[in-house]
Amino acid sequence: MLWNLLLVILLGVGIALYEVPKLLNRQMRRELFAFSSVLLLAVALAVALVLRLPVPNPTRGIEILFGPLTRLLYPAS
Amino acid sequence: MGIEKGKISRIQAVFLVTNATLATMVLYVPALLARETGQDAWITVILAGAVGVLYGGIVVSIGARFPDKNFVEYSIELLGPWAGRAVGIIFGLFFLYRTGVVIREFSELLVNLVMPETPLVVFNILIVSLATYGVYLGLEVFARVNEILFPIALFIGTVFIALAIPEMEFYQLKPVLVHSLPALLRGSSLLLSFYMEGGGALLMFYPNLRRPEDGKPISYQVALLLVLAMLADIVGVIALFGPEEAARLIFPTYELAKTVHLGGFIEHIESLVVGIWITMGGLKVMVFYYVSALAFAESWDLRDYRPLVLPMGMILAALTVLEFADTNQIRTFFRYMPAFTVTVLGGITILIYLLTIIRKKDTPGGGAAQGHKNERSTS
Repeated sequence: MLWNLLLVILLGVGIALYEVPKLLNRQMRRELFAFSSVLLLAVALAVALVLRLPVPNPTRGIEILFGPLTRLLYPAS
Repeated sequence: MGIEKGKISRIQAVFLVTNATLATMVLYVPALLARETGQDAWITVILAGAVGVLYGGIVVSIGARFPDKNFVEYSIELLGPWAGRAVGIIFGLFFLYRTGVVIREFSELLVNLVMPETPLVVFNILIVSLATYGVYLGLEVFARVNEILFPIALFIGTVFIALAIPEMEFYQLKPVLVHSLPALLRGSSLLLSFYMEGGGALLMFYPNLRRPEDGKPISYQVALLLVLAMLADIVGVIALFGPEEAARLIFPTYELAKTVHLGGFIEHIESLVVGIWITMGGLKVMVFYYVSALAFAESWDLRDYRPLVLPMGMILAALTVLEFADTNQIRTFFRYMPAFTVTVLGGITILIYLLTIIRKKDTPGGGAAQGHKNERSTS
């Protein structure tokens, strides 16, 4: 688990090292901000999964949101 | 023109949309259709094709109305900056989620059928890295790869179904139309949700066509290809296994390929089918991934979508593990999928379509210049 955690963080740092200098050279502030927020979200999600923290599952959300309509479509079950 | 400067031809667009729909449709859907409508499954294909042409017509006519803007750009123009961006982000999230599902479908296929000892995450990460590379290179690149590979895949699929014909017994299709209309509509709504995803992807790269004004035939060309391919697949599966057995299988098309023996000495050529599937699945993932990255970049006013690609790949790799626990949950998800896709994608598209019609009546002089004025006054 520790190794996986290290791998995830290394991957995040690697992606940042690959993209950030390019963005800084081209003076893309807005892109840099978007990039870092998405990367932070990605690393947080991956770390949470590696540490087996309870992460909300989007599939459950969809099943709850669209459950009533689906029950209308499949009345038998 | 927005972020993407690449140009694709009409035939590339047709193949791209068809592949983005077909690649996973042949995986799970025949079994689900057989469970729902038994031997009448082929009728649902035709029904869904008819509604799909209608939806494609809507998509193409919106696209032709804004030949130099993609979906998020004109939804910002029509709905104003806030609501337009919200629509763009919902669109991006929808395709991000679906990309995760598609990747998971393919890694489940590999784990279940080919390499059961390998952990699932390995396949997830491999497919994500392949797709990330493709998306990073841009629309033109994977459109061309798809133009070369899609006809080959279609040809191999046709050959496999043709080689399985001697084993088929067509009396199993016989009691025609015994299933009720609601069951048929349920089956076709599942197919329609796949068609709609293809249409939604087309909304995003319609302005990248070389001649957007000639894009109208895309809708029925795609629908024709899809209906023919799906009909061959479903009729083949049901004639080979019978409706009850087909409903019980998880990957019926793979089982169909498994029955093919060439001349009594070439066996296990179903691996070829798995190889083709992974190629086409990778291209499907690229299309959805690209659409999602571009939608986010346009909604956040970025100058390039590429900075988002690598972090999104990491999100996708995590999402594919998070979304489902096993193959059965994917099958359960397909039960929710018609409501989900038709509400989200269909709702957004029809909203935009109605707005373009209203706009056309308001400003007979043409939308683009007027639109800019409106955007400025609202923002």
